[in-house]
Amino acid sequence: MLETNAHPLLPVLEEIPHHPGRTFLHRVDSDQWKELGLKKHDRLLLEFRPLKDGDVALILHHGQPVLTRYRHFPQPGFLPPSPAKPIPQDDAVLQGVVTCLVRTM
Amino acid sequence: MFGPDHVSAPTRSILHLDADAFYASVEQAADSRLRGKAIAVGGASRGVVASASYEARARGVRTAMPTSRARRLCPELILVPGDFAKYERFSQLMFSYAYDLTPDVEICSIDEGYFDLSGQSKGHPRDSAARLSEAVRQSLKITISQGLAATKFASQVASKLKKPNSYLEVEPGKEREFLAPLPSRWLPGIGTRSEPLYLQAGLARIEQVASLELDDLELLAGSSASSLKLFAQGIDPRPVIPAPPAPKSVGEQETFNADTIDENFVLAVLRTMTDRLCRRLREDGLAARTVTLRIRYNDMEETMRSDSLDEPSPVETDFYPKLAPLLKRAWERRVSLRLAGVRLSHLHAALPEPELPLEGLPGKTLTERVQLAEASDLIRRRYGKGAIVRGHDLWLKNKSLD
Repeated sequence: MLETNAHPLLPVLEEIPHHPGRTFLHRVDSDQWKELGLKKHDRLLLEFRPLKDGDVALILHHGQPVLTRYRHFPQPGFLPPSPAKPIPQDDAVLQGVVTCLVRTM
Repeated sequence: MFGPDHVSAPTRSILHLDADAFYASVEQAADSRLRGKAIAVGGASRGVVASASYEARARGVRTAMPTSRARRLCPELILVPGDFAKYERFSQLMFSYAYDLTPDVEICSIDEGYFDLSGQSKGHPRDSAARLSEAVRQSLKITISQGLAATKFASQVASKLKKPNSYLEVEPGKEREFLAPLPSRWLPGIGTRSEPLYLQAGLARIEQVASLELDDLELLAGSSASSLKLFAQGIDPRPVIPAPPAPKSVGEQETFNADTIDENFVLAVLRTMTDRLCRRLREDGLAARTVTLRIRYNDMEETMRSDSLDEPSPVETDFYPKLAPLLKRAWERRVSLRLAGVRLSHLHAALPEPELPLEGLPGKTLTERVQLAEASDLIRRRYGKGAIVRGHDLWLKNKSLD
């Protein structure tokens, strides 16, 4: 749920033509990743691009968003926080590589 | 619409993308346990299938079919409630690849778009189509079908003719030849309701529509006869329009005659605005998922709150239950209000109507609510805005007379 004090420019910004790009914000809607240091209402800046070894990646696995680290070796796959098992690349679909954490203090 | 002088330029290369069983494919991509299985999206509030996987289609399950019938045809069918935020994200990522090919991208709906590749200097457009298809398949794990032609209409038909995961190319100048043998229901404006009329008139194939005298076609198609004939002849000079023609949201706001602290009054105004916005959506064949409420206090400070439905809806009564909690959350200061506004966003093309009357479903489904709302729209258009009103409209009218 969006909760904000409206900025006077917001109605103008809403009219700016939008072209779908590969960079977007993902809002953390729960405390599901608090063990990873992420809080509810934090936002992650995601970039949809080919994966490199070591990337922090947001994936969909069994229909759920999972924050993982991508490992290319020995087999391409995603490492979720332990104790969960590694997820083979074909079993998941990438939503984006995390490039930045946005937190409103 | 356009005349015969505007013969389409044979040099244009228009690619039409149509994602295969989009909602169901996204669910299968997002959850590997659903892959290869008969699944359908929908049923939560409409009681009809919004999208069926190809495994389900092989068992006779179709879009717009009541879920009860789909279950009878395919008892192992897995019904998944729609997650439209996820579909919007996949759509955004899918179309992002198109911008690698050309800036001339016209997104028609969440799963369909045209790309003008005419100005491409490197390689043949079919190579670009192959790259696009491979990128989407590899990264998003969904398949798309594409059609390449010199006109938008021919490219659209080409993309849909051999689904799924297909590519079909129409040679420039051969559009009429390509369309000629197809059933006339492929033409824009000929749907399941009007097709029987064309069949009775002996116009089963597009070539028969193309060669019919315009005067005779007007008896069936009315004012759209000339454009229909041109489409049938393979003539379609419509350009690819990069800016999305559909609005991203619809909204209204109202500054009150006097600042108010009357919550019932504000709520009634918000409902009336929502009624008007939903009527606009229905007129444009759209549905919205998110409602945003904006209030302005008498000291000009503003607050907004939003909430979303699980599935897009064009019916105001689906948004009513969201309004009171949103107003309560937004109106957090003990200060009177000067203005209130409603905006409906995350717009989608309205989901298809069911092919058969719904059977034995408790309560009113979304489809029934849409039919009721459309009947009310018709009464208003025919007999005036006051011919049928809601309780809050009467309440506001009486209040203004006090």
